[in-house]
Amino acid sequence: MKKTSNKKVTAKTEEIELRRERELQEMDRIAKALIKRDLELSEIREKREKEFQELDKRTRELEESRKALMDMLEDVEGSRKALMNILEDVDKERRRSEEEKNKTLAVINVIVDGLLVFDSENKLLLINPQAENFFDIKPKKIVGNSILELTKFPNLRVLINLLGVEIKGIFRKELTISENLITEVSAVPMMIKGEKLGTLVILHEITREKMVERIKTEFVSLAAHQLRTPLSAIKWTLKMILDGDLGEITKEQRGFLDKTYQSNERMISLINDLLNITRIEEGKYLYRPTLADFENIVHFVINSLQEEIARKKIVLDFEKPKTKLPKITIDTEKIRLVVQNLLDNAVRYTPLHGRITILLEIIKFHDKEEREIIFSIKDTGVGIPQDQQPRVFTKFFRGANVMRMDTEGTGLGLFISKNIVEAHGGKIWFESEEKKGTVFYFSLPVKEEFTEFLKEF
Amino acid sequence: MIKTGVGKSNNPDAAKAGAEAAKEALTEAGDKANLIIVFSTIAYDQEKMLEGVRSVSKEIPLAGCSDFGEITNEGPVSKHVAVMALSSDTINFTIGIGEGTDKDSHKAGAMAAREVKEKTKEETSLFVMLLDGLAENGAAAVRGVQEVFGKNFPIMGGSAGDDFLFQKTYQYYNDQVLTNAMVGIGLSGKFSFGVGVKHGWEPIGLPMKVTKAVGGKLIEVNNRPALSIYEDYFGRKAEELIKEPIARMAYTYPLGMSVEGSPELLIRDVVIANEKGEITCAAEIPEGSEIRLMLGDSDKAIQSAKEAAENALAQLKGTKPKAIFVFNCVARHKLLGARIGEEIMAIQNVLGEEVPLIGFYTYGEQAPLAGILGPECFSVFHNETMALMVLG
Repeated sequence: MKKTSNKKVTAKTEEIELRRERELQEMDRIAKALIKRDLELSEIREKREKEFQELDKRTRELEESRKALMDMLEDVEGSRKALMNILEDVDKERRRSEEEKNKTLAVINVIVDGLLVFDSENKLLLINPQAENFFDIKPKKIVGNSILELTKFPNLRVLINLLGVEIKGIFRKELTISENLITEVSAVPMMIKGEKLGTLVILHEITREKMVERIKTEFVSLAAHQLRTPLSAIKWTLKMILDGDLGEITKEQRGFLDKTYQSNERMISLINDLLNITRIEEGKYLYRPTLADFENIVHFVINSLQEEIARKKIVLDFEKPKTKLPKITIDTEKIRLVVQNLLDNAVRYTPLHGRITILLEIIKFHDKEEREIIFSIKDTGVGIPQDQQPRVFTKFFRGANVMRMDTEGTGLGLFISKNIVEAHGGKIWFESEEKKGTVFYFSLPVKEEFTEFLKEF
Repeated sequence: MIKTGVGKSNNPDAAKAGAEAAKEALTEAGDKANLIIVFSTIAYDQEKMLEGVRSVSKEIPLAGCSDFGEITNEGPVSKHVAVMALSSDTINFTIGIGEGTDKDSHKAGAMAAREVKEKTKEETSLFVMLLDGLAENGAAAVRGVQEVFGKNFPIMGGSAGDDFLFQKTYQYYNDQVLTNAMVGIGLSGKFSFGVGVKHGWEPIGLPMKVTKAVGGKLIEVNNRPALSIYEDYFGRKAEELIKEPIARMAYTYPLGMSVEGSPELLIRDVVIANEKGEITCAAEIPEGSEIRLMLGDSDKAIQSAKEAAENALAQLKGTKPKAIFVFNCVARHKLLGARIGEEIMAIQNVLGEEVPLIGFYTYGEQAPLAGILGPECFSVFHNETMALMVLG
């Protein structure tokens, strides 16, 4: 019985332990399930935390960019204020310059010369009332137009023809706008620090001066013509007497008559010069261009003065290039007059036993396409005083030193020569030293083609 | 008299960061110190960072290590360098170095302790160790120190970290940056101190028996490969667990073993597992030990930190706290996540917010079991534990 009971107790205990064991196993299983859950949770949490950190970082970054933006806005505000200040200053400046402009405009408007202002692109910026009057045109119509567009206006054509489409700089060129309106036009580029801002065109009215000059020229021309006729009659009468056609004359009579004849000749020469000048001034000094040998002209002039050269025992050298100079298109008659005038002067103002050198050269200047013939004549004469040199080519000029020694000479030769040379497209100039001598030069462009020559005129 | 100062910096320039932190600490300590303690992220070039510190602290003895995060009065931070300057006319600090923790941790521990003992004129009352976090057996290093100072000698300290990479940690000894080393600091003279050691982790599931283990390597549990524990609990395949240090996943699920003299189980971190199913732990688990899986809880963790602080304060016996050292496990950082600050605040609430505080997140803690000092004191290697020390 006891044994059985013991057995029972043992069985009971075993059963309890077994159950306990099972419960523990169950708890362990639950623990494991919980840990699994916990691990997953903590992993999720960690991930979330990382995301939060990332979010935090992003928030901070955003905050920083917001701050940066705010700073930038502040900067912008600062800049805006600075800009406003600048604008205020600019406005002040603008008003000041407006005043300046008004003043300038007032001056431009009252000035007696006509003024036109072109910008750097040759658009007309401004025209003053005087110029409006000259061309009888309204400013509203033309201001803002380019020079090309201005050709549409017939009244302006003469001016535009003179200025050219590119508006070249010109100085005191005569422009006849109408019969009773003559102006002198200058076109001056307006430069600031080497940059061309535009061009100022000035029209200075010279109608009255031109009229006075014309009247004077007409008078001189008339007088000269009227004077020449009787002088010619005197010349031929004296010639007849001196030739003995009217009978024998005494030696004494001949002496007086010779002097009278020479004086008459001088008078005729002077009248001829005056007539030449009036023709030049009237624009009637027309050229008769032919293709000529310049060398021959020089030879001809030298020969015509051979007697006088020999009389003064002057040594004359004539140097020319080895190859023959090309023929050039010139007005032979007038060019001969130039050479004659220059050689005349050289002989006249070179003392006995002096030396004259004539040199012919052909030169091509770097900046010019065409070649030029240079004529130079060097003497060992009295020279031109330094202070008088600028006036050499003006009408009636005579050196103070030569006037003392020689009463002959009209003071017109060089003036005429200059006009002739320039009409040929050449230049005339000189170098001189008093008591040592003078060299006169003139150049003639080599224009072998007649058509080329014509283009110029 | 003890005067301490703490400074920290995260200047992108390593040398400048070191110099800035050191300057701040020294200024606070009154421009003089007998010991400099440095805890730093491995993100800094270690040599340059230390040069920066030394450019300010000059020849003052220096001890420190790399970590997983720095702790100062302002709470936990990461990727910083933290420096404490200790100035005292009553405490003597002696530093020593032991090398070769990867080969023989015991020997290294003893070497450091011996150097400290030999250099100290008076009797050493407290030993602080900063051990390489990847030492082959952290527990052996502690025994090495005990071999020199005695079985009941109070030992405190932490294992160096490397920002959770588990590749290489660094120890600082004056101007040297070392690896596989242990830096020891001996404190002697007239001073009070208290310690607190608590983790708050709780065992779960049935106990398991360690059937095969060598040193820190756990080979078989319940006659099965050790890794099967985690396969069972995590429901994950072994391959997944060995792909990267198992610590990353298991740090908040360590193993706990019961030891005599401690109401709490002594925790062992699992660090790396291999394809044979073996797990390398931060310190040894002797064959025959009964182990259990441990589960952490944030509230309990914070509560245990508070209790550790209270324990330390009680041991000061009324002396005012002058400096706090916190060796806090990286696992707690992981467990608490965003709440890590609360744990440090809990300590400060007990010991005083204004008391200079320095610490770091460790790969292991060294402290007396259950925070008991005196004749019953027995220092061991802990994991997952809040180990703190207060000087008064």
